[in-house]
Amino acid sequence: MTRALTVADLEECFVGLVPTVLATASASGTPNVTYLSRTHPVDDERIAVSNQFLSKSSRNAAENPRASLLLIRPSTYEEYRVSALYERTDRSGPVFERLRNDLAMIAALTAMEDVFRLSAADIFRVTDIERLSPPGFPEPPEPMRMAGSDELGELCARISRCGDLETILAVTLDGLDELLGIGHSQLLLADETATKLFTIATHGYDETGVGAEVAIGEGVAGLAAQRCAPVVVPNLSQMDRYTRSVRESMERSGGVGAGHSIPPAGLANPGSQLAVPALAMGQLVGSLFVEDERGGRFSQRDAAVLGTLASLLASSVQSARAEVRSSGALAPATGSAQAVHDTATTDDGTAVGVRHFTVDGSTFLDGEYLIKGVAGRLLWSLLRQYRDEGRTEFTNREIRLDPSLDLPDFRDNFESRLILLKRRLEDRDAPLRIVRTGRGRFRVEVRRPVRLELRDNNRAG
Amino acid sequence: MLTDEAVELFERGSALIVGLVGPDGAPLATRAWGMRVHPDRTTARVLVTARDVAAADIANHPGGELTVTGACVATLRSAQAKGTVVAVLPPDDTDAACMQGYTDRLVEDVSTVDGIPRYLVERLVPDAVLACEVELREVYDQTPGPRAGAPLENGTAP
Repeated sequence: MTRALTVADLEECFVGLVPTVLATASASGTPNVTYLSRTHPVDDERIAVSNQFLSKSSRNAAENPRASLLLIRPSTYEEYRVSALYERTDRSGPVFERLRNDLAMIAALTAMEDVFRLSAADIFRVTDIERLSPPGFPEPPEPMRMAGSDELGELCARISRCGDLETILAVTLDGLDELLGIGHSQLLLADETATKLFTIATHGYDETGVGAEVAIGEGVAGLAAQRCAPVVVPNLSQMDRYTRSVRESMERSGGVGAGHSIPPAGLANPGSQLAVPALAMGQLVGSLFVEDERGGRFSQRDAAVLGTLASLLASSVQSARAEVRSSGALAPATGSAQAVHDTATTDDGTAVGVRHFTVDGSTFLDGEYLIKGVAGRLLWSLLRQYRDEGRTEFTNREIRLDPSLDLPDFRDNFESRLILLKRRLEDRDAPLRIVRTGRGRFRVEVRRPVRLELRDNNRAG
Repeated sequence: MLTDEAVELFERGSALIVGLVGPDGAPLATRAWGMRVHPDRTTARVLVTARDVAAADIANHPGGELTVTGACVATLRSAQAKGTVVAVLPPDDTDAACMQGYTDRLVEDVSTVDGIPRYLVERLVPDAVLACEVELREVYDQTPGPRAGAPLENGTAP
């Protein structure tokens, strides 16, 4: 005997990849049928529908509680017809809040907060689920891989064994690919002002994008950081079409002006994206962002799994930072002024021009932008000491205490910025490199002569 | 009654969904697989999944209501028509060609716009359809947004 299907069996249908069809009927027997961008499971017997523009459907439900829905499982395109009874309308409470957050996410990503406001959540009790697809419906050849607890456990164990921040970053993003099948990922850390995120590590892109910045609240990663909550965008293509359609409708009605599209992420044509905040001790450390070319790749379950990972990651990042601070304090400051020629393996005799702007720390190599902010000031400080004193060996501690870096006391990001600078120099194949020489120590390798130019009220450095 | 743009939307370039009502007043959500608006623009022939026409028992209850919504896959512009089913007929050769053309366009659109493999979308195609002759009574803009539900009259385009 075949077990009766429940709402839980249709979990994949609710990710928002394929629009649901909702049919209602008035008391006089006139049907209404409309697409829903998304429906939400409430429990094993109930589903919720966002009541935003569904005035006719809601009026029908009030008159005649019976409803019929078509749902499609996106991975197989199996179709189900759900018979349901309108039960109630929520204007507060956990279900309403969940739907409102979902809508607010779309609104924030598209700058349409004035348009996407949930007025109510209509709750329907499911009375029957009919599988419409014929028996023997084959499974897809490559079912979408969902994150599992075994793989998560293994990745957490690997992260726990890491001894420094740079290794943590590499192990995390490599592990997401190897163990959880997530091939495109980015880790962004909160900057010193807690207003921006900067990309510290990426995996699975042609261009690493390390050093790129996004305002907190902007884009999927920025929104997760701002809300300190996961943001799942299961179908960017559909969301973009939906919001564009609503915007055009509003504009025809004279309602609002144009908003903006979703800020571009790493992939040229992302199908789905997910970002989770990385929090430690109640503080925002950063945002873990993943994406996939396919729509519907990430679910709320994936958000929960990555949320767990991000928490460990945030704690590990903070521990690594604290460890570096601690070890740097204990380590004797070398102060050793090695001769320049010890490490300056000159590729050719042409000097590399380093131009630094004090106003924002922007630093250019041979006229091309390299980095700005703390990392830019850090490079300038190192090269100045190299030029003036011939130094190439440094400790984190002494550099952190350099007042010219303008590091805030309350949020010491030095280690992250050092890694960022190191990776940017590698990405650019620059004739300058940062090489770790031990815990809390590093060396600057200068492979061509440098010519420093300070841009500060026309004063040369 | 139907504007040029509404006719275009129903006959070409849209995904058609249908609401029926059974004898007991229960709504039934289903799909249409082609629609032809007759020259008078007040009647149309809608090709509805056969098993659902049977389930709603329309053939045995003349005067049953039918609502069809057509939505452009690429833009989500939508129109909705409501009317009365005056006849349920087996599909003829023209209907078969209409269904084939509709299915080809739908599969192509969904595959192109959403990146869904064609073989998956084709799984939705029913074994059989029935042709429902409908006297159209009302037409609405159903495009997502605040105008959804506004009547489409006097040449107003969706």
